[in-house]
Amino acid sequence: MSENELIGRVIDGDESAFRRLVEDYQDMVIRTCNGFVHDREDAHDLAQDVFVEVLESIHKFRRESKLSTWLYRVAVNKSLNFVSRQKRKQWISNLENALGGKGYDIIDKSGDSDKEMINNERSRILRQAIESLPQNQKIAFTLNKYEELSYKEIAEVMNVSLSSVESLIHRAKMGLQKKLVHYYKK
Amino acid sequence: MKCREVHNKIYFFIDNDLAEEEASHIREHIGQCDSCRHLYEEMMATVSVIEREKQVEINPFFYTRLQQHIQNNEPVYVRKPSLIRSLQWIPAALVIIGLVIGIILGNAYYKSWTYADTSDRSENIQSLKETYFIGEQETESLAYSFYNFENNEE
Repeated sequence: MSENELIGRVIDGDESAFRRLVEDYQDMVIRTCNGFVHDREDAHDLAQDVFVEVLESIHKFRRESKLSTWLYRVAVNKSLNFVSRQKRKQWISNLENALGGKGYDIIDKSGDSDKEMINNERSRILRQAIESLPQNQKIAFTLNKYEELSYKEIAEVMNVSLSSVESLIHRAKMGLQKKLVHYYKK
Repeated sequence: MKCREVHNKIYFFIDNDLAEEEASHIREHIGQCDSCRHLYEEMMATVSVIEREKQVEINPFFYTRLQQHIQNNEPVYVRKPSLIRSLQWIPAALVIIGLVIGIILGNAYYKSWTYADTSDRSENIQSLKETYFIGEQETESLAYSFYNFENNEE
């Protein structure tokens, strides 16, 4: 079944076609969301929202780009919205803790092995460094590194030129390098 | 090659983005400099987290969950504002209101002290002096003390 045929059948309300679409693209969408939110469960929940949106608005899809490009756009937008909501929640929670004098929660990591703790710490450092990048750099870097998209594919998803993607990724690497060197040379 | 140059290129070295000649200079420096080698190892381990995080285990029941989700017709993260969610701003609002009231009251008190009627003020100062400054220069100036001393001498 061609992509156009699949889209047509989904628009016509064919459930088996929608199932096929989900099964074809679920890995890609979940991986993309995970690249931004860094949490498997959240990535699955966000992917559900992506496919619900696909179902609701596929009739508006003009088929000027590939279906995967459109799916990437929806997944990136939903993930970025989720991350900014999480940041707001974190800010409120920190404020409540500060006002209530509860302080920070102490996570019991006694069950974790040393290696796991070090890996978690490295993951946290990297996530913070990526999170601190400007939004377009973060999108380009994440699609390139987590989803292994080529610069050309990223340009299509972000609707920018190839040279812009090159520049965004170069600056993202410079930014990460600066943050990580600063952290490890402290 | 200096350490600083290595710091400016280490990520690109790890990412295999450098020309072979430049990469070999960095390799050589890392072989000789303990500090840069340590930095390289830490950064290498941190960047490799991406490779690990890329491997997401997909829930085999994803489509079944999605079907339920569509039937329930509830977006996962777009929830209607509940009473509890709207109450979460109250502590922050209370602090801001408290600060504003404090500033207003403090200002009003300061003004009442500064611009109070001068006769009341002098009475207040006099009573304070009587209470706290008896025998000190606030009430007995130096000249007055000398005057008393001379009179006593006589």
